[in-house]
Amino acid sequence: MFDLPLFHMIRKEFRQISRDPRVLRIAIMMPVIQLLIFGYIASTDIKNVRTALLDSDLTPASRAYVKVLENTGKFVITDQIQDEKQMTVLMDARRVSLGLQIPKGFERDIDSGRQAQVQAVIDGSNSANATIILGYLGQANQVSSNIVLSKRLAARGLRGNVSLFDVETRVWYNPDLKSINFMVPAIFSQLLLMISMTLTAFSVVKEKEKGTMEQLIVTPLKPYEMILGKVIPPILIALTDILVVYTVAVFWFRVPMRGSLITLFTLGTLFMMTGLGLGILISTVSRNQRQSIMTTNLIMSPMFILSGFVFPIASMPVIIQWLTHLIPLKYFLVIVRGIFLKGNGIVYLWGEVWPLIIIGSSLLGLSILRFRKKVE
Amino acid sequence: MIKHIIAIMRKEFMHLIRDPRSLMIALFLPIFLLFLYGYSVTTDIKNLPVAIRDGSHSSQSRQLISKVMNSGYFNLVAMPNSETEFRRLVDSGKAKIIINIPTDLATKMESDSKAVIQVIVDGSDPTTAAAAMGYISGIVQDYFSGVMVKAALHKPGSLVQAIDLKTRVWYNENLRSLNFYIPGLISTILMMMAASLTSLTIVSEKENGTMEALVASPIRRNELMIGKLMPYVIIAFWDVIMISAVGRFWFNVPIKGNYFLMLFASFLFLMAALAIGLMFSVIAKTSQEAMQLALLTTMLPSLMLSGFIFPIENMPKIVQVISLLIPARYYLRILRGIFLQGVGIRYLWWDMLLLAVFCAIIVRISVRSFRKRID
Amino acid sequence: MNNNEYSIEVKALTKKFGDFTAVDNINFQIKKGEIFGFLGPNGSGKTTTIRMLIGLMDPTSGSANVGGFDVAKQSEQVKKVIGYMSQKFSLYDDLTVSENIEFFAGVYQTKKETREQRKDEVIKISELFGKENTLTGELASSMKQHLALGCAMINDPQIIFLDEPTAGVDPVARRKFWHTIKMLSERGVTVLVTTHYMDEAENCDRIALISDGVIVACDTPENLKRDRMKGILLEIECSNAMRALEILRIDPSLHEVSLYGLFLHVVVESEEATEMIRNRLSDNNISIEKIEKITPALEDVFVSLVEEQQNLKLKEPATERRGSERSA
Repeated sequence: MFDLPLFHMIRKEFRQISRDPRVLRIAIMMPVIQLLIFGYIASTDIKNVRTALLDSDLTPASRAYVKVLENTGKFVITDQIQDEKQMTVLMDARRVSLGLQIPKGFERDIDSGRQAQVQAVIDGSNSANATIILGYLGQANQVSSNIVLSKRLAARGLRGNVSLFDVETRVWYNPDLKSINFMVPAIFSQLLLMISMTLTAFSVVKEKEKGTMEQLIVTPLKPYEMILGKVIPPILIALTDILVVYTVAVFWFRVPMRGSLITLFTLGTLFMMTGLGLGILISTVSRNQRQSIMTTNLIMSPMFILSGFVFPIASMPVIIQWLTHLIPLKYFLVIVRGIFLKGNGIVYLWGEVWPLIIIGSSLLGLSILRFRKKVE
Repeated sequence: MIKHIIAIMRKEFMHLIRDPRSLMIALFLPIFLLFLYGYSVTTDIKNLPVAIRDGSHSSQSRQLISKVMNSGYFNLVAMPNSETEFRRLVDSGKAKIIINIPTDLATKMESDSKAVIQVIVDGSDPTTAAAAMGYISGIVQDYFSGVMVKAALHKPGSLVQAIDLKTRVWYNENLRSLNFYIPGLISTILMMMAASLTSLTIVSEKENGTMEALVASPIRRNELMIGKLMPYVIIAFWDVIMISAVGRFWFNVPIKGNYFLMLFASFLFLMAALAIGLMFSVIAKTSQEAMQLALLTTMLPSLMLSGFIFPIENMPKIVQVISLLIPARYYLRILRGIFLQGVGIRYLWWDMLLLAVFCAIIVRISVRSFRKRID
Repeated sequence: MNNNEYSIEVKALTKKFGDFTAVDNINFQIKKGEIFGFLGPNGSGKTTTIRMLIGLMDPTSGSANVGGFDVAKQSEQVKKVIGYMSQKFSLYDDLTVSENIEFFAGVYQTKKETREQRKDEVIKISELFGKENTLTGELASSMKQHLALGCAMINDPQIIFLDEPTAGVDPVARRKFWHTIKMLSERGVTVLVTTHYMDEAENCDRIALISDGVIVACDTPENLKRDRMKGILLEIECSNAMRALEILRIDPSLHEVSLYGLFLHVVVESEEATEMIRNRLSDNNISIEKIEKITPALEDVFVSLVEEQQNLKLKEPATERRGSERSA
């Protein structure tokens, strides 16, 4: 074993890595720091929507309507205004996201059996939030409306419960719908990908620029020995990263870990191999370091945005959905959530695992093929 | 002084031109990315995989089910017969929501007593879960009010809605998620590109040994920095103009505000981003280090902390403070203000000032850290 | 494997980069154990030739045999039997001396015992006792160079290629280096070395002079100095060399007037020209310390031959320029 050239290649790479402690430090500290910061961005929950209230009616009915709204816990009346102009000012300055207008005659309409009117103005710049806010608003309105209907029906002597129905919701795996449990594994995955790609992206290019590549090529070393020799040492760093990030996730953020640690490490390593392979491939096709960094940019960016982390893949155009099948991050996001929150094992996750195996080995294979033992 | 700067500029340009691949990426990557994202990015939630167990098999349950499916949000993936199948469906990810209609739905409804419908959601993806819960509540309530009123009044088309809610949407009338995200995408794309561009420039001179020649020359530190920044500013500016054109004319994201104001703000932002890359280039010992710093500190932070996707107001205070360090945060507010709200400098001057200050500080740090000495 | 007396055979080897011909149809053979020097200015095609011979670059046309293997078709076998030392030393600066040697030893698939033995030998050859744990980047140039030579020899090759091995190294170290090369040659190792230090070239068994991709001459140093210079070489020491240069250059009967340090070197057809020069210079108020006939150094030969080749080139602008090749 020690006589194999591959072993010597690996040993040389290890020694070189250990001589550059700064890079090591970044590779290990950076994920921890970023995870700590980003883990706290658990705020996709909409709550405390700042609302401006223009109540021109000022009757028990209008106050009851507002009460229902406040009871949902999602809205906070921060400003009570007297006219529409004030509403515009507040919205423009982003002091409120919602403006609620109850016109004069609200109670009168309700009592006389006519349809009452309420107006709302919503800040649409964040359409996702706006949609959700509209949803909550609609529901609150529905509840008020049903209360009125129910009273009217009762008045006619017809029985009508306020709610003849109930929707009982159970949330599995994440009962409080804590975004942290979703965010942390997701960030975990992104960090692993970034680290692994940047570890190898310069690996081959560095030797080209220094001139040592020439010396290497003149030896009997085969392309696969060179590529594997450069990919295997960073795996140790990768494993350290997985361990470190896992510790933060579970012991700091208290993300439940229902799956097996071994599965996490195995699949995590598999995933990082795809990142390492991607980095090496970039390194072999780049002539100098600048090209390397620009190409890494070119690939990393879309991988993140289209991975399904932020924007749901199911909502993307079909062609792009097909393209996302090439993105390792997409599979790993599912895997990581599956392991932490659902306790999935490799068998259950196989549908996500085999694509990773294929992508990883193709990348490595491509790098080896592309590697010419010639100059120019 | 100008002569020195121009000399460095020219050299830097020559390096770039001799590297057509990098140049092409720098010039066209942003546009390409914007095209790609523009077509992919939406937070509208649809095609949610749902499994429905109809325990009632009544006309009521069938009506309810068809109402759910007609909403357009859901994909029916399974109709399990027993509750034991639920676990497997959700565990495997096949279904994200399960609607469990009880056997006694019809009987309960006909006898005017409370009927309970059970909904199970996969909480591992809270956003989807929340949206799903919202949709289903809405649909079910809608259904029941209709039933209730019809049953009670025996009159079709009776007054279902006692209170009518009319909503108007400001700034983004069609609730186009694209309009919201395009500015954010622009700032992320530019941030990463700019930092990458400058991150290698100084450190590679150190590694190649050509730094000695520069240090021995009469060129002063700040002249060197500015000279090295300028070619990239020009490239980045091209990127801004191209991207905003694509956003405006291809994706029809309206620019309601002042276009030149936007260009100026972009200039400030780019300077800040390029300066950050330059700073890494100065403090790093090897180009590997510079590259890691540039990519790792710009990718996720601008994505997560700039307010692009996650609203800053909802973050814990500490994180909010950290987000003050992210130039993309200020740029994003300015962009959204100009693109969507059409507000003028009255509202934006503060953010612009902060950007300018940020930029100046970073350049200063770079200049100071750069020693005209060989260690 | 061939049992020929030739280690390296080169036939009509050509390399073009687009329109530019870097190496133009060169031919030569090198015997086993010879020290063969490749002499020429920068950009003349030396490095390109070496790269082709070690299998690093494919020739555009022509062929070459190194150690019995074809460099284009059997490049991996060639690499097994040769050693190479590149211009930039190309050792890993961030590895220690010992680690560098271990790496290259390991890469040649030698067995552990052999590796240890070779490692000790290399340390001996490179005279790096006590420095095994120093980072290579911290070594002085001359030591790096010796280490690079050692690593090039790590697999006990029969043929080694050294590309400008003594660039930037002090004269004492250079001398030591050549001492080592001579030792290797006595052991039977064929050495192909490129250099632009003329005085070093004297150490070679044979030299090929290369200019603009063409071999201008190929012979032993003595033969070159004796045969290839036309005419007689005069060395002139005078009070104003620059002015003298201008004056003498105008005269068509005087070939190749050039500055050599503070002296003037002039090639003349016969000794009578000495008088003419003396007169010409004193007419211009330049006093002469001495004029004497000297034996040409390799540099003079080289300059002369290169000029001749440039003239040839000028006379045949459009046709394919066949280099004035001479084989030994």
